[in-house]
Amino acid sequence: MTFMRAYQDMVFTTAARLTGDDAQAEDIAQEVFIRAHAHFSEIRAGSPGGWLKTVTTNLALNHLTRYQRRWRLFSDLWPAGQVEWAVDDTLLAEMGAEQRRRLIDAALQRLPTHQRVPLVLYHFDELSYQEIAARLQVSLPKVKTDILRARAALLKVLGSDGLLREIP
Amino acid sequence: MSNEDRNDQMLKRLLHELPPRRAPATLESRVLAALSHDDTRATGGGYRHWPVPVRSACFGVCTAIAALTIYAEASLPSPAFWIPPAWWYGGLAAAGSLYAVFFGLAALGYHALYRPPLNKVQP
Repeated sequence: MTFMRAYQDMVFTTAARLTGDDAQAEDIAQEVFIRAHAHFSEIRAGSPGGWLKTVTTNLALNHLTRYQRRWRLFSDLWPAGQVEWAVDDTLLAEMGAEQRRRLIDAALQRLPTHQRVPLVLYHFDELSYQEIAARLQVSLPKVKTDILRARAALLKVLGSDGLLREIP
Repeated sequence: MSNEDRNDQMLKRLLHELPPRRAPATLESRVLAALSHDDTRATGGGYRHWPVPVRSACFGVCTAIAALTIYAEASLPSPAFWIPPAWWYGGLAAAGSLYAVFFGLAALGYHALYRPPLNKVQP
């Protein structure tokens, strides 16, 4: 169980940020560790963190695939939000790390799936635009647009919560 | 630098520095319960999941017993003359049953003596 304790936060976080739902994330994390147990000797010989992260991402994306048709439709209909003004993150910077983490994760959860998923894959999983396009089976321009819109939407959510200030 | 670029830089930094969330306390017990359930369901834990030395040993012992049986039968005088056909079928059924029992006992022994408990698994 030392193995599980070492990686459970990373696995759960990856699943929760992709799905935006804690209950689904826990289900996915459970499935990941069951698979890890079945392949324990191979994982131990390689890179356990990388294996767990890849499997978690795949399972979370598989879980979201059933909504893919709806996702594409909404993605196309969603208005392109823009934040014209520069924002200042002094308020966030002054908070404790855990409080900041909680607020930003809550803001991420409020994003629609079609914006949150590419944003999380880009910023947290550090996938390239091309890799994201391949994983989500959408075009490269669409991935770029969705990430751009997701950033603007996240800034708006954080701004509406009073966590970011407009710089005059 | 444009406002959009500044905002993107700030957001990248915020997200990059974001620490992981803490997994729910229930996750560990859920995983253990699911693994335990799987083990109970799959009697013997699945032959293909056994360690290679244990699988090899089991295969070797089974093969040796089969070879001994064949050798013993071959060393006897030709049985076709003095063993009734019904005895042949009975003998084959008994051998099959004994083989299954032997395999089950090997699986039981492996679980009882060799396999480490789940909560002792280390990376």
